[in-house]
Amino acid sequence: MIRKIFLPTILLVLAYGFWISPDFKEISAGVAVFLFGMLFLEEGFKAFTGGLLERILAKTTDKLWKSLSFGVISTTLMQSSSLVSVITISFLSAGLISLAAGIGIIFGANLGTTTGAWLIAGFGLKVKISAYAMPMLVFGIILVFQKSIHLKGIGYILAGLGFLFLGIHHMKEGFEAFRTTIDLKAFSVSGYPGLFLFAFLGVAATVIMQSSHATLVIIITALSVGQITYENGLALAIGANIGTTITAILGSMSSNVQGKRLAGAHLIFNMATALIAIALIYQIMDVVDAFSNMVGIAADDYTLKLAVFHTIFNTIGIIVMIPFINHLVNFLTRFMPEKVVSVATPKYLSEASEMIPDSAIESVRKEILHLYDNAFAIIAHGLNLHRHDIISERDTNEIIIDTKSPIPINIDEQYELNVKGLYSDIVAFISRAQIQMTAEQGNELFELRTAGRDIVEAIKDTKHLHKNLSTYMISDNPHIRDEYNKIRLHLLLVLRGLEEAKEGDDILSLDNLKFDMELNDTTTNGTLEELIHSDKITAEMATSLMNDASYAYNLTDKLVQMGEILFVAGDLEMREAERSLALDKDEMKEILESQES
Amino acid sequence: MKSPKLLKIVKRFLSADEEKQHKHIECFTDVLKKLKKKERILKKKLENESNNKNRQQIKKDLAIIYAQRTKGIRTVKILKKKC
Repeated sequence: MIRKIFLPTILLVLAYGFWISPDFKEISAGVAVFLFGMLFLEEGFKAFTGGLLERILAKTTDKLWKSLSFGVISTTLMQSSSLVSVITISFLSAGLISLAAGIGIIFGANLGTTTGAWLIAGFGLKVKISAYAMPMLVFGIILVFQKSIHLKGIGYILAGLGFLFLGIHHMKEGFEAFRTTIDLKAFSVSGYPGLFLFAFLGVAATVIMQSSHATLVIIITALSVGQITYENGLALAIGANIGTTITAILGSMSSNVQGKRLAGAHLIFNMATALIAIALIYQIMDVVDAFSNMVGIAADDYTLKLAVFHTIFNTIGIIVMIPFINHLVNFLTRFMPEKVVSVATPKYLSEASEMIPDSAIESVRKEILHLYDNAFAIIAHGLNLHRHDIISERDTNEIIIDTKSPIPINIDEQYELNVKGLYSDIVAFISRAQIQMTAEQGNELFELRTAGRDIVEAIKDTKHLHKNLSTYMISDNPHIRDEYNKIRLHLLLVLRGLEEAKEGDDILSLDNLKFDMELNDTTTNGTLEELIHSDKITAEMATSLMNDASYAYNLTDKLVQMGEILFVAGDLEMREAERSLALDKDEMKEILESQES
Repeated sequence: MKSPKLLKIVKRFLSADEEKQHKHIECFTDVLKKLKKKERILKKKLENESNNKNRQQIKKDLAIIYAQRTKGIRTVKILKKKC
């Protein structure tokens, strides 16, 4: 109900405001243009997130100081802590970084975002920035229409900055005209009640605009024309710092529990920082005065002093909170536990990771590995093998001989329960995610989808094999029993080899499995003919063996192909290099021939 | 390596910018180094192995690594020429 009336109410209030005050209209238009600029800026940076940002992020978050620095630098460059926090959430959801590293980035981003106040106070109000805005907009829009993604990205960034400057200009103009008609200072409240009231207003303004930058620019411009008191300006800035967490909270709604934990950490950090700032506001103001004196900021230059305050109180927050990062991680992990979900529910696919190509690819890879884990159980039981035996170091012949009776399993039912739904979710995710990808990234997703299909086909081959395998592994005829146990032994070695390749990230070792597959092909190595000629097996048994050897061959082929795609991590170039050195069937045959000769 | 597969790698390589081309070559060199290390370990293992069946198995593994390395070295040579 509240949701339904919220938007119309806001629109009505604004419309009434525009009707009674042209100055309010100009200020609001300035905010709108400023936010539009932010959207352009985000769009521009997205053009460069096709690998570069992700690679830097993955490499620079292994230590706390690195993740903190990354947060500071990336937010300073992008001038948007929201974009950095949304990207961090998507990385966390994809399992590319740890929660502690994510928290480090968010802390850093909080400090990085204070550079915005410096830019607006130091540069934005001192020069006629609308003069810079116009050429930026023209050059930016020309570049936006170019075909090259990078030129387009630069265009969006330039146009975004142009709109930001234009927005600041309109807000400034609006406030200056406003001053002549209404004096907002008359509404100022002093002392702690004023601090809490204006902090609350700062929260509300930032939640509505979803940008602390926009709130800060309003505070600074209002402060520059004396529409609010310095003290109330500081309280608004503190409130803006809390309100800015709304973007991360909204972003985390579409992510998994890790993203939600990060948004929780963001809220806790900003709330704690705000409480410290309010409690110690007069002491921090003294520090701001001392610092301003030291660097030569005039005593009445409240706009720059607000920027100093913003930086100091965020730095204090970081210093206070850093020792508690591990406690924060533990608390959030306990407070927001991972939901126990069905094995067929996707673990890594989320809307948050869908937006960033590299995280989308890694999420799909991890989800198909999850699909493989589910399929592994079905295939193992379908071959009458136990998973713990496959991944153990137990002698393989011993495992085969020790199996005295088939393991009861309904493969169709298991497929419907644990594989089909998950596979469908992966395919649907891929088709959505590939829309905003480069051709190279799209190819990688295509390969991963093929790996998923290989897994499904391997289960189908297992299903075909299962019936005869269960019958003949306990047959009275020792010859047919041996042949079927040979098939099981070979497939046991394949599954074990796959597990080893998965653990060791060594897909080239899978070529050994391919080699053995060619070597053990009963249908071509003369074994079958020999068994039929010597009447050791019946014609019916021979037909079954021929078909099942072919299923086993296909099963190995599919699983090895899947492993070659799935078990290699790292960036796209590295994956491509490893995969391209894997030997194909003809090359295998050449080795086989040279070994025989 | 069959020509179409190699052709695909070279084609992708040529359409990449200079920085990416170097990255491609670097990746192949890294994989080759890994293979060389594996080969050395297996050769040492072969020297100390007396069981005939195990020796045959190691020889087979070495033949596969040799073929992979030959393929890699050939690819790097071609990519370097095109660079």
